[in-house]
Amino acid sequence: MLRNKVAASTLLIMAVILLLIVSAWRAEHYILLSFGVMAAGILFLLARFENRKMEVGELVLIAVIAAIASVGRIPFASIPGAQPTTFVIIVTGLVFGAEAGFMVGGVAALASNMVLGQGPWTPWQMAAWGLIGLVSGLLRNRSFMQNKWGRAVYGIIWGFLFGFIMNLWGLFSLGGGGNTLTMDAVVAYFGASLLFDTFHSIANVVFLLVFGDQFIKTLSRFKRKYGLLE
Amino acid sequence: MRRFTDFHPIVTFLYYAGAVALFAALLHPVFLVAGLIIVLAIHFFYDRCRGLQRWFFLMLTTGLFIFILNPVFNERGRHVLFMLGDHRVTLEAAVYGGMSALSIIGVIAVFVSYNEVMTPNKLLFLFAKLLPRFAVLLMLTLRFIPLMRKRLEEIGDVQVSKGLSVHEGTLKERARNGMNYIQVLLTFSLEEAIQTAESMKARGYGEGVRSSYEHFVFKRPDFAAALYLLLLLAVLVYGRIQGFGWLAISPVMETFSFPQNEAVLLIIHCLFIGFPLIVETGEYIRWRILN
Repeated sequence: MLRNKVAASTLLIMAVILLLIVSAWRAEHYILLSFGVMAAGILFLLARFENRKMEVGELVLIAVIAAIASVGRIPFASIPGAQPTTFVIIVTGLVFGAEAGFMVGGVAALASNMVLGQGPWTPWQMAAWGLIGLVSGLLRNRSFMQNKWGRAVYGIIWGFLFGFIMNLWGLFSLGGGGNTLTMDAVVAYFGASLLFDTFHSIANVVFLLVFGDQFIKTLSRFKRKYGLLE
Repeated sequence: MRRFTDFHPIVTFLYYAGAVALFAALLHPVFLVAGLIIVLAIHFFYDRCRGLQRWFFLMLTTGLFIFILNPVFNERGRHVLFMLGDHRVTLEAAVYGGMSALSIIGVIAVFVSYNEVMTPNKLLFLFAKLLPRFAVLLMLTLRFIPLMRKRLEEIGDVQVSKGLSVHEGTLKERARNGMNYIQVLLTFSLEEAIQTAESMKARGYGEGVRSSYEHFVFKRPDFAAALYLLLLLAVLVYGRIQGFGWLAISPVMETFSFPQNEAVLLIIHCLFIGFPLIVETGEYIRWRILN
């Protein structure tokens, strides 16, 4: 099993390196290449998750939080742009660490799209929300993350970054085949989603400022009580 | 009678992955239009395009947006259609915009069909082979989503009796109440999760290898279908590498010609995209003759 794990990881890292090398001189196929890098990255983390020793309780815990992250949209249906999914994922990463954060983000995206309908956006959504959880987990011990306002700034940044990642899959339609992609077109394309990203950022900030401490407290208490994902 | 939906998940997945890749890679007006017509025919055959209607607005606006954005920001090209002030609107940019729009619309149409045919249990079956723990996680989440919805309703009923509603009041109140719902749901469900985990443990989850009932069996027609799809795909990849099946726009747009090789490739393209139609009509004819 251990040899299997090492082999899978090495293979995926090699695949990413190969893709990066190819992209240096065949830039016109960037949509295919970026998709390959993303797929290898997600698979790498999934393989890691698959081979780790894990309590059943931890598995169910991740599933519950992922389900809450996707269902959480319902009470906010009457407020445009507001959805606590990103907030729940950030808080999970902060309390339970990078891997749990990534899994909650990725699974929440995949599962909610199984209910709402899959599209070409699914892998990008998985990557974007997964990254939010992963980065939150990696930064959780930094001093600015202990602070309410530091977390709010972090929420603003991800509101826009999430939109940028989601825009990437549509970029190839602006000049993939020949190298006709101009900076103006990219700016205009990203600008079109800016209003929506701003709503997303505002929602993140409000949730993190008003409910952040409460949620972190609930999850931390649960973590200590049952000794899960420590 | 064997329908397209009855094939093994691997075959179905192969078809949809291939179809999406073809719409993205073969940027040529004739190929795109032919592919789109066939996908629309598949939708018509499946449910008279009812499933597609929900996505129609998204497809139209995305397509239009991309079609317009290309000539607005791209002045390159030799064939100037007209001038807008001192902005050159070129034929090249318009053609590329049109092709991109068709490509996106085609990809979304394929995904709509995918959502109808590739049910969650088929996707889970594929995951379970490769990533068993991830599949369990996904399965648990999928089961929890309707459960959480029900619980949210229950919580809402109780909270309304206390005067806390998400449908009335100022924006601030609604947001605060909504988040309180989530907070209650979280505490409620986390405690419940421990019970679920204990129950799974008691039934022996995680104790060595598990056997399972296999709903999907790879039969001979599945093998034949997979072979058919893979062969066509290989030819298409070879053709694309040889430079057929896409219209070069930059640096110089190729004159619009349609050589014999390209026509052969178009037929193969149609045979791949039209695979569900071929299966369904074949079965329809056989059904008629047998009766």
